[in-house]
Amino acid sequence: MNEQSVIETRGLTKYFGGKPAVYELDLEVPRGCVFAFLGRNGSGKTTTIRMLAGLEQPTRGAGSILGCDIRALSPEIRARIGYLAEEHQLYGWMSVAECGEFQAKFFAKWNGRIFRGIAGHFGLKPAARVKDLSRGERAGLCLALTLAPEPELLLLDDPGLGLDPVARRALVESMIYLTRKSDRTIFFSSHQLSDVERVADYMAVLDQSVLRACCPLEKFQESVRQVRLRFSGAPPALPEIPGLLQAARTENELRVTCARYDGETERILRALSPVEMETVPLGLEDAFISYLGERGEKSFILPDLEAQP
Amino acid sequence: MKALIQKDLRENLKAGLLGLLIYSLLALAVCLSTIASLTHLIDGNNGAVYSDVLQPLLSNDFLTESAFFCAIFGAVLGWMQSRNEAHRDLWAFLIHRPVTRTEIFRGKMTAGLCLYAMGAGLPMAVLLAVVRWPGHVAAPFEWAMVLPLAAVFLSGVACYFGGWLTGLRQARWYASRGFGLVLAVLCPVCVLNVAEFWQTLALTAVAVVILATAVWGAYQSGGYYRGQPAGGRLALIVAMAAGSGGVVFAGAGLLFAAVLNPWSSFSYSSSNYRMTQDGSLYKTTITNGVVKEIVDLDGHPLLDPKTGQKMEWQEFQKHVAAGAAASTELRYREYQNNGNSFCNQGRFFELWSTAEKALWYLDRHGDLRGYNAQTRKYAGSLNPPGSRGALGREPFLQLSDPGNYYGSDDLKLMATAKGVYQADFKARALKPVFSLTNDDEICGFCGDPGGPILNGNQMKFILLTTKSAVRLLDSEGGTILGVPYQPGYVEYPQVGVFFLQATNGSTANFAVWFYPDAQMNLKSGWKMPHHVLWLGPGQTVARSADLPYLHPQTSISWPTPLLQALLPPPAHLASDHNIYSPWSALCFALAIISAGVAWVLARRHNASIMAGIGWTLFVFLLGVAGLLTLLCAQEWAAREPCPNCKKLRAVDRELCEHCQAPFPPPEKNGTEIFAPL
Amino acid sequence: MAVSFHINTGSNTPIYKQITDQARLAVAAARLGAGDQLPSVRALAEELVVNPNTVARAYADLVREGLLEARAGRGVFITRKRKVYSRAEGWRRLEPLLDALIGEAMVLDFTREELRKAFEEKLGQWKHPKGGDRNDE
Repeated sequence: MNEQSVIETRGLTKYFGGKPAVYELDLEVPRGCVFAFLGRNGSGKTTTIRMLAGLEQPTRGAGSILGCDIRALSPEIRARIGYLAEEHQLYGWMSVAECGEFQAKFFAKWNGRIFRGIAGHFGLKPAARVKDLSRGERAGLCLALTLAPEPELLLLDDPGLGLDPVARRALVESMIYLTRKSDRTIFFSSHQLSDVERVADYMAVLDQSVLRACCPLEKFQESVRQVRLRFSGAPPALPEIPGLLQAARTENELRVTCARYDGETERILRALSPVEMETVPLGLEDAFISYLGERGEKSFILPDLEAQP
Repeated sequence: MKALIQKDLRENLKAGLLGLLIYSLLALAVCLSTIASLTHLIDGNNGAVYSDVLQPLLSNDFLTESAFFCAIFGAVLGWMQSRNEAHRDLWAFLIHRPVTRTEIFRGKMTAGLCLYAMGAGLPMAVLLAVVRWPGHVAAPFEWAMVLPLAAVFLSGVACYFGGWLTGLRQARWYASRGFGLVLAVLCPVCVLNVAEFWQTLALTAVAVVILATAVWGAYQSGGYYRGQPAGGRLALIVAMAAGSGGVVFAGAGLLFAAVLNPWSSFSYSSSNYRMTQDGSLYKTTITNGVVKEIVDLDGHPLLDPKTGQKMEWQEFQKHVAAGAAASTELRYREYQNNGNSFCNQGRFFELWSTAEKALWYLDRHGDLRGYNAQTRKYAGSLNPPGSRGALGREPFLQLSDPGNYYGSDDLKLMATAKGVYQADFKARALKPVFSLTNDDEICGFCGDPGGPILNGNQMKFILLTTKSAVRLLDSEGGTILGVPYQPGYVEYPQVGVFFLQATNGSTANFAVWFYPDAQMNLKSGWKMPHHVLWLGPGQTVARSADLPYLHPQTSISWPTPLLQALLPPPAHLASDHNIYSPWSALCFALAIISAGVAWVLARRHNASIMAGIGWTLFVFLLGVAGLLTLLCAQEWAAREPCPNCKKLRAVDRELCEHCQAPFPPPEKNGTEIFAPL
Repeated sequence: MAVSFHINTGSNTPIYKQITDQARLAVAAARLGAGDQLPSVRALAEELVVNPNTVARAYADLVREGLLEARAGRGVFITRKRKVYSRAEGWRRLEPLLDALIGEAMVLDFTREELRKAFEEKLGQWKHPKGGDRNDE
């Protein structure tokens, strides 16, 4: 096992019933980075994170986290991993302070200042009952409970789900605060690509249970390009382009979005003899949407779906 | 782990307190009803009072209520402890901490059992203290009386683990989650229905171990069957097997009962001998509660001389001779359970008299104890003179059928091994009526056999059996007749004496009947006959007869053996000893088919040979219930076609079992973006 | 600091590039001069709420360009701009901006004369950037 990896999986697979939720996942997460795990809903992200946290038995394949087999996580390893589930579930009858006291008794390395600091950052009162907290406040409390033992590795499953912008910002700030220690690793999944753009070093994309991308953030943005081709007349038929994601056609324009844009792609496009060819830069979110969105060619003008009078 | 215990205690405290409140009210109710019964008895209002209420620890109602309560309370507590972390992420919150799953299980179990002990045990302990405190309960006490409540308490612990398991299991079929409860509920049912404490203790201990291990295993794997250690899986299978058995049996029974009315063809017929007052013998047969025939020993139906038709039952009853019976099986040694279960008050004492505002009990040690009804304190014992044995006094014989001994003006007779005494409760004295001087011992006694009515007075006799003879005494103790035991003492332990109408009108005549021991008769194939003696003048034997034993006939309607055929083969063989009957064949056929299905399933899903054999044997031994257990418990991986050889292969194996090809890597579609990190 | 950075997510420009662009613009607009200190990597990262690696990369690019220099133990400082770009490179960077400016003016119906006049006026308003005029060397 690579000493520099905190998480390693080989052929990790999980079936629910007869359908695979995660299929043959090979992943390596280096130490000390912020790793974003992206994908559409239902693509297998939560299942993967739960398997890594030892909460779900893989159907086949292997994984190790901090050097320990994920099928048999020892208590010592669990002390070094912080896990945050997306529903932010806690015991409703406990108060904020009681939650902190409860967790503190289990961890040798419990840092009460961190707990109080993050709880205060989210505006939590120690006597408030968990069932009376809002979604964002609960998320903050869960985050405080997860970070206070100062874990080496954080597994965050969609930590920003359902949070208002203020709470989300507080969450991102907490994540950046964590990067102060260089040996801390954060592995998180998210749908908030703006936050991912801010905070992540690397990203991986799961598409329908299969890993399709794993690279530094900029590489992804560079690889997904949109090219606008203008023609004098009607645009020609689209040839076979490797890595084609989407194409849109208007009266005399062709917009082609492809992954892995390189010289070969450029050559093929130039061979269509456009009047003008322009690369449209894409932000991370647009690139992501194109990457995982509906494939194929579509007309730029949406048909009028409403009934005609 | 202390934090876990505290957290679970705090979380479930409300349920525990609610249980404490409910059970305290139940215990209070039983105390109040005891006091009410006592008042009722003392006031002498004649109405039956069940003497079990006099000792709250043995009150039948209270024990039944306690069994219900402990079962429900225990199950609810356990179920709540699992449902508290029902949400997937809350479960994750509980599990993901630096403690082992076993420690989590132990912590929750400690908390749960503490709450259970509080809710169910605390009221029991308080009740015990109240009972033990002199002046509260006017009835004998011995520590063995605590055993019924203790057994009920322990049975609730089994239900606690059963309820906990129900909430934990991740099962395909929701109803199969509750299978563990069948084994659990068996325990309180068993408490109230078995004879000895050790039997229910053994069953409860086994159930607790199985269910607790199954819960422990569920914590190791998150409620799934796979991923558990072997011990957990085994325990789960056993627990499920009990449940499956219950479901199969109950389901089949309900099906039959719903579809047909099978019990209409069930019939029970019993024949008995009856002696009329002139000494004649008749055989009466009653089938399904209806008198079928009254015939003499040659088979001719008895005709009513008045009407000329067959004699009606009511008319016949008038001619039947009065009689009394005594058994020599009554022994006065200590701790004889006289056939009552350990929960039954009758094992410990009988209420003997309520004379003079005092309650007199004959306890099972043969001590006649008095309790003051007002102060409810022990007021002393009545003992015959002379000391014998370790007790320092002569113990009284227990009676097999005390009848309504309190509040009536009967003779108040009691017998020890050596003599018969009459109790005078006002004077607190015993008057000797009869005594044996030789080595002979009194073994059986019937103290108030009502005799025939002579001149308007009912004559009173005393029937005694000793080791050597049967004696009939008059109410002053004088011997009327004495007949040696025959044919033999041990084989014929029950004796009856019938009062026959004297043909010459002056002295009553008697018949003596010796009944064979039922167990011995069964072993000998019902060959031991009844032995009857008719006594003539001077109490000499006039004639004797041996009558063949009549045993009841039952015909079992077809659903019962069909249900029996659904039992696991060993159980079926135990109940129907005939291995060659068609029902046994059906039973074995079902078991073999189920075992075959199990084998096919196991091999298809790549169970190892050992596991396959194990499952097949298991299913064969348990029949249909075993197959149901297999289907509910086992979680087999899905199968999909292998891209290489096109056959179905299990998805949890790296290599195909047919062609050894690995699973293909994910298909590339050209849009992959991979770069070194 | 005389300059405040701000970044937008979801824009076509990667965040590190937004930082470098803003740094260069600030230097060009004389809001930052030679010897001015920029916030530390960590401080800027926490201020902008971005990954410190992103800021580190931006700073590294600026250092490579020669706009920034790291003084051990003291921080990062603006250097005197050295001529790192070739002329062709410089025109390549300028041309899109010119296109954008002229295009926008056309759309808004400004005439060439108006545009030229505005240009001259603006140029006159701008002082020579500190340490940025090739004439100074």
